[in-house]
Amino acid sequence: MHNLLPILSVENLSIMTDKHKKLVEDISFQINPRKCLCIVGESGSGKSLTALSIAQLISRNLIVHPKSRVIWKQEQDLLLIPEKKMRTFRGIKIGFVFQDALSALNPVLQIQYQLLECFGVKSTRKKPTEQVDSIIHLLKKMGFEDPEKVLLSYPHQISGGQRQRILMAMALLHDPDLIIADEPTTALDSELQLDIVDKLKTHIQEKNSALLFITHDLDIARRISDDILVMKSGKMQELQTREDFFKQPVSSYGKLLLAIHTQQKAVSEKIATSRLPTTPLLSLRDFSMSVTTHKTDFSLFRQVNLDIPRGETVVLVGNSGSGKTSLLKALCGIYKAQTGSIILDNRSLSLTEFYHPDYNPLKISVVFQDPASSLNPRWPIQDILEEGIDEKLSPKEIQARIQQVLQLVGLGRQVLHHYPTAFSGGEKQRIAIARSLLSEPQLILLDEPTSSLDMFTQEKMITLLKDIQMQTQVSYLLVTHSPWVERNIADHVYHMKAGCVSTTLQIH
Amino acid sequence: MTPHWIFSPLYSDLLLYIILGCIAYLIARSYRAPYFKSAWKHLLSHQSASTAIIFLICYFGIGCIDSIHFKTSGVNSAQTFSLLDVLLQPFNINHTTTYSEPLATHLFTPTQSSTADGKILTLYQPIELKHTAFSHNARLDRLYHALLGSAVGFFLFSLSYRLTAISRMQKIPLLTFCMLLIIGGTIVSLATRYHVLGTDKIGQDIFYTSLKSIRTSLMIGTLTTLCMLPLSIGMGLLAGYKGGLIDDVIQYVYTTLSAIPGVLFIAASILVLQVYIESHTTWFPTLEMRADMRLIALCLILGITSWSSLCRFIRAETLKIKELDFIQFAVLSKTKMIRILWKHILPNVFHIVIITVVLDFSGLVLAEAVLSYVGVGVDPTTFSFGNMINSARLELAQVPIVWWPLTSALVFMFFLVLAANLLSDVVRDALDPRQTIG
Amino acid sequence: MHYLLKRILYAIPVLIGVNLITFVLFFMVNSPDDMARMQIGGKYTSEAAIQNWKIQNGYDYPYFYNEKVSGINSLTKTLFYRKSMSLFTFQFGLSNQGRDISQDIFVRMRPSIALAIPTLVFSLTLNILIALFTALFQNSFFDKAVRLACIALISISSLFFIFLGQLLVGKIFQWVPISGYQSGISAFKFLLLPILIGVIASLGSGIRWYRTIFLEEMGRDYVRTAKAKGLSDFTILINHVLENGLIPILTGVVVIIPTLFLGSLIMESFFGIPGLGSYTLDAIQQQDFEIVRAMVFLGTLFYILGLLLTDLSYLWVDPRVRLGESS
Repeated sequence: MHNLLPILSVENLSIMTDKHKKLVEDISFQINPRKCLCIVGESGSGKSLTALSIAQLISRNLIVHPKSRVIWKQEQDLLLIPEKKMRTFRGIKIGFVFQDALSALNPVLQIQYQLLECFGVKSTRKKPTEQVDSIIHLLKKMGFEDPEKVLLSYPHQISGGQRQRILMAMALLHDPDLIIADEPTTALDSELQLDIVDKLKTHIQEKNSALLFITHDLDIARRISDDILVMKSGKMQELQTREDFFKQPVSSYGKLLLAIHTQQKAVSEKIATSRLPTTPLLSLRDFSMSVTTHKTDFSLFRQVNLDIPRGETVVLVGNSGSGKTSLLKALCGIYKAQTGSIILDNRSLSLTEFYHPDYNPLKISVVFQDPASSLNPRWPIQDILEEGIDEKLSPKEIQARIQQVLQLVGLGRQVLHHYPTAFSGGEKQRIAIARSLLSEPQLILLDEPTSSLDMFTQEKMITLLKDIQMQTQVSYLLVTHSPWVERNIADHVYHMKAGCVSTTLQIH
Repeated sequence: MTPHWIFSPLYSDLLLYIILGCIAYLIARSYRAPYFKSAWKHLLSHQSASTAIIFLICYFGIGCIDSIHFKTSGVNSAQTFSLLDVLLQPFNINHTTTYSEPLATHLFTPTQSSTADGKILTLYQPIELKHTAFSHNARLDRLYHALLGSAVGFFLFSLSYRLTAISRMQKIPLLTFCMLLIIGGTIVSLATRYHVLGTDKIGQDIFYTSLKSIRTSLMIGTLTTLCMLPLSIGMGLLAGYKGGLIDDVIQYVYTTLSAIPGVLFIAASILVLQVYIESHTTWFPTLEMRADMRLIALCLILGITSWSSLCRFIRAETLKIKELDFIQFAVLSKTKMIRILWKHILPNVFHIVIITVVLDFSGLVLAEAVLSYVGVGVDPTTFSFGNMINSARLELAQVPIVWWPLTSALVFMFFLVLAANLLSDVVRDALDPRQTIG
Repeated sequence: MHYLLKRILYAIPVLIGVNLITFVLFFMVNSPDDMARMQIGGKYTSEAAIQNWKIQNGYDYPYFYNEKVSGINSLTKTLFYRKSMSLFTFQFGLSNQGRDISQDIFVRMRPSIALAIPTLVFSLTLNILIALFTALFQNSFFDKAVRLACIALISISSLFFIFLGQLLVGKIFQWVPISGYQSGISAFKFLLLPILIGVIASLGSGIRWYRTIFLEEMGRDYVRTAKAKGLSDFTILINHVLENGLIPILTGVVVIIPTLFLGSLIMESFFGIPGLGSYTLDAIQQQDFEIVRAMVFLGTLFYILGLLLTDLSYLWVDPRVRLGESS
């Protein structure tokens, strides 16, 4: 039957730079109608390049190896057709949905013109009514309540979710046979993500088209895919149906990916020590702070009650805007909270005392989110680490302490002479952790320390943090929005939403 | 008995030495850093940049040699001369009284005299030249000297090719170096006998004038930006980091200064300073000192007009860097503000400084020419390309046209500015801020 | 609106500041006594003669604060107020030859504009067209040749273009007169050469600048989206890149429009065009301080006007600024 012909058949796709560095190597897959293939992998694995190359959209200085084949409906090789013919495919037979909707839309053109462009309407003056009608019809299907208003708006005037749906509308206008979606939901809230993903799935079922969905999120892949292709560093790791993959991955990388994704925190030695009731290191009572901008008071967080036990990890979870980062900043002194009291080791401190360095005996250190911006690129590591020491020590003592700390984080002496640019993200974060340990703190505040790292490095980082905690008995207050991190390191969890701390859960 | 030479630098020379010293210090300090090394590598990998550097080395070499001034001890100690003058001594033949074409044997403008029988004779006075083997046949003589010079140049080139690391350069810079040596040899050889680029109205060798003008251009290109650097960097950093009232004040200052139309401000300031210098003759006794002071004053005034844009850039960049996490950490570690500015932020904005300095250089050299035409550039007694062009303007109207002083000035300026522009393009790429932070 | 009002108010202290600086420059570095001596000339000038000259020319007041009079007069009967603040009311006074400066400025503005505006329009159009093409055919032979030519062009002094132009056209080919001016229609033949030279001289830097802007826009994501929609490179260039690129270009152009009124000092003097530029130049060379002061004030005023216009143009041209962010 005609329906069973694969819409796209990719064989041995290989892409290199003009200096012959291999970016994508020997990728092969097929997509059938009404099916969705998910390409899963870390950033830099070559997934986007693979997708873009299908419609000849890759940069001009990249070379596609001649043995590559991208066969459309068993009829023609898309890599070989001339540009003019390719244009008849793009937008009409192949639709693209890109990731960042704000930058993917032209900021100075009204939405209606950007949509009309899909029909080849170049002039911005005449608006053929039939096409406008079909656009409005599609927008209603996408869930827009007032399509006419949206059409007259500019991209920055509508919300992120709406923008993403506009991008989808642009891709779906001509009912393409193949839809390629490159991480279209990564920047959105989880509810919106699922909504968009479901809409795509229903669309391809209705129209007998195919979907190529690129993501790094296995949850989404599980929800939408029929087949899964795992990529790492440009190479194909495995290609399986969804059920098979989630039951039993074939490649070692696939196995690792799945394991990390579903990993539960090992019920480990932690329980023994946390059973003893101890006075918490730090307690916050009624901690509140608000700021005044443009004559309106905006409360960053209110009446936070928090306990941080010694040698344990407290995790603050919440969406962006919930105030968790502000709370961290108020604790370390970047912000100054206005009301509340602090209990340190059973001793009560007023806020002024807490923020005054002489009266506050608690040593707090910070590890930031983005390792690249937390280390001065113009300083050698030796200097960066020395900055973390807050007492007057002799050079010998300084060196000794640095050595000690480097050992703790698993780095060797040779890093001292290098500059941050020589290191990977994970290594930079280790250096940042080392720097924070040098002042021998009792509490380390970590602001999403793993969110800019890939899955493997995240796992290593969390293991490292746990090791350090075991050896030094330092407490962590860790802010994150990743449930996986929460699952794996927290001893106590506080949820924050709109400035209020709600449930606390003790994990055993 | 040769009179003793006393080293007597002009004020501008001293400034130049200080600046060169600072640059050398900075280079030595950051030599180990990888960003420095990678920038250098990127620079040298571009053939245009390497070629430009060769040209600039020549120009700067000449300028520096010209910046070492001496006075003769003895009775007539009013005249200062530079090392360049000493080197050019064998060539500074001043036998002519007025115009002569390049490589000419006769004067350009005829003199008329009447003969005994009332007829008017127009004669072209011959120039007194040294006696050589081919004195009788000018063309042959010139050819001989040219070939001799090229041969010497080529010989020097192959010598340096074999003995030094020059052979590691890429094709185009290598070729340029070779051409420069050959042309240099030719010119030097021809200059022993002829005025290679002709002479001007008062018989001064144009080649000599051009070489001396290089120093003025270099001074204006470098002193201007570099003198203003400490102030603009300091204020930019402060304004960006502290914000608030200090930021407002600094912004007000540079808005006000940049609101004044540039040329007008320069013109007005120079005029005012001229009157000032003239009414305080006791402070600036010699003509040279006055001319030198005017040069320095011009640099300062030009600096004031270009200071605000650098300040603005540094302020903008500081605003961005201030938000980065490592600054937060420094603040948390209770580092003092001055230390943060000096050790944390400044190294991260320095690329803007370098880009601006190199970028402004060519603009300033060209501006000097225009300003001298207007009359508010350097002192008319100073050798400068602007002055050459200014006096050449009237010569164009003559018939036949006296084209060589103007052409010489424009050609020398063109290569200097072209080299600076090529270099600034590549420098900007090499120091692209997108490759440094984040 | 509120923002604009703030900007206009901000202009006033800037103008006062500029006035202060020019005042210091002109009157304090060389005191009125020095000026009197210079004007009267001669080696020995008596105190009486100096005083006379000062009274005659209105310089017999103290700098900033007059202690001899009381009340508001102590501020107004000073040199600063009389000489500098009067500029605010556009009382420019008389030049050294006794001519009314305001009148002269008014008359001479026209030739300056007649020269400056066509030059701007032609050079803008030409530069943008060439820059668009180099962006379209990026890295082709055409592109590389243009880039090389641009670097060479900006390395050549503008004086060279003027000389060459005058030489070639005026002397050798004798198409149009080299310099001079007549008002009315015949101004055209006098303006042709300076406009042509002005446009050519602007080619180098203009093309490079616009090319950078267009290339930056072409690297943006929305261009990739447009391509994925199936549009041709040419359409993308015109509809998307040009529109976005015009924003920085326009604002860069608008800021200099007011200063065009002052005319180009160099062009006007080389080509003998009686505009404000040559007016200023002559004043500088003749050391006519009154005129120079008036021109500095006007120049500052126009510059600030340009800044205000730039803000306005951002509002007009960029919908993100005009309509503000929402949700």
